[in-house]
Amino acid sequence: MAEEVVLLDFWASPFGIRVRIALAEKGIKYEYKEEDLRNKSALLLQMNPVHKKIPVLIHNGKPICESNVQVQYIDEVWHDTAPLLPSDPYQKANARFWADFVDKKMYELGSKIWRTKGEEQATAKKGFIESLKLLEGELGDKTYFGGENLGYVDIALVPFYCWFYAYEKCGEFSIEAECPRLMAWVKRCMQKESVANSLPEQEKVYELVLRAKKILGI
Amino acid sequence: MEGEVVLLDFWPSMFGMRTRIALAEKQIKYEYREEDLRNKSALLLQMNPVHKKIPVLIHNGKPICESLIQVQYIDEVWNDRAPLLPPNPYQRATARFWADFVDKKIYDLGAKVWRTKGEEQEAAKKELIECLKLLEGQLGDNPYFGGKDFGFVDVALVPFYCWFYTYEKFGSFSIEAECPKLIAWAKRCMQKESVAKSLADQEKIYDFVLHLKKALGIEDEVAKETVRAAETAGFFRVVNFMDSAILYIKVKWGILSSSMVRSSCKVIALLEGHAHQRAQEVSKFRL
Repeated sequence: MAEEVVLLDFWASPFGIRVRIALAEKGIKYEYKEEDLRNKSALLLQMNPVHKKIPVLIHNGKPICESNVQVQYIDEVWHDTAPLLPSDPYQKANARFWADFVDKKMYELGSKIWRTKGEEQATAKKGFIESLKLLEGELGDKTYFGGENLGYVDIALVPFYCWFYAYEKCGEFSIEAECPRLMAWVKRCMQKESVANSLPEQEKVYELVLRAKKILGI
Repeated sequence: MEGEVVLLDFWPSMFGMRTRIALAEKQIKYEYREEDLRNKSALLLQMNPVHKKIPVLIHNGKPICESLIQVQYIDEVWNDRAPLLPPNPYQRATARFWADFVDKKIYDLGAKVWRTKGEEQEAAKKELIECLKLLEGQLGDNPYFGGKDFGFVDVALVPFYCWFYTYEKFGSFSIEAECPKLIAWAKRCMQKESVAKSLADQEKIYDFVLHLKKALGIEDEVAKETVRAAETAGFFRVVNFMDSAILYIKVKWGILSSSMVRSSCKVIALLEGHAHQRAQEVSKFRL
């Protein structure tokens, strides 16, 4: 059963990191291809003509796009190890809801924190912390959002951790001070090899943000 | 086996229509509850505290939020009939991708078409047509996005069909002229009872949007003058718009000339409060 799995990705992308974690959790060997987002490869444009974005998962030559769709696909195809979604339909719906919540909030608010200043930045910070607190509430006393094991929501959210340092420096606030329980969850996740090996260093992400700010003139 | 199924919804919502269609496809009996988005029920706020939006599906007392998540839930629980998602994981991923594409593009572009004018509207029209053409390409020669059978992407997209008339009227263009295969597909879907019964009447949608635009389009300057004049004249009348809490202050005789105007701090403050409230009211219509 020769499976060919290729991941077109960008090292700092939280969305790409999700897929890396899912592949690692399942123990799937794959080829990682780094994309230069200012000079996208012909393969990327061919495999994701609609959005032209990473990550793109290519399984036996066929592309799957959008990180949450990819994680669900991985879970369904390699269904015999490390289940990421619960089997109960209600719990599955709940997991999808919170992953969708992460999608709606984290990236946009986080981007505003490093891209803007003044009132706009303050509003983004407030919204960001409120969203993290809501997630803390959903986590409750569980070890992971997935319960005893890393699950779909954990995978959707934890990649943003490597961006927290950049957000904190640009926004001049401490996420740990506001959301200690969430940071405790982060540390538990980082103890897992699949997570630790998939996230880049936070200082490197911060350097990327500083470069981006220079280029954007902000 | 069904248990108790309740749907909190708002009649023009394309997202609510998706869930209605899925429930109808599976022939599930449920209680439909109409929500007034300017006066959301305690049940809605309790069942969807995070987003406070419709539709909310309540199954045996437990809420499921977000329309595509509801449709998948319905498909998984009532898995013995009318499957909406294909059994093959790759086809499932493709279906989820295109439903997500509809979510990312169609609502916001459509809203821009009826809300804006000039260059912004032209750009939205162009992009909307491009997106619909991409969807046409994905449909290909199949009767449905689900292939031979009506499926997940069909459910995700077809509710927008009853809004096309509104987009066309405000945008002065014809979607059918640009995307005939897509309209043929929509008409094919409308022959299904589950779809025909779930979509709102396109003229009713247009009326609804007309009223909404009127409420949006009230110029603060005109209203300010009107209020000043009304206060000068000693009386004013509050008229309800769309039987709602949106207040529009109108002088009994109509709008008086600005020469009669004398500003009143108290009245202007009242009006500015209403302008803020109006903005909040309109934002509630973000379906």
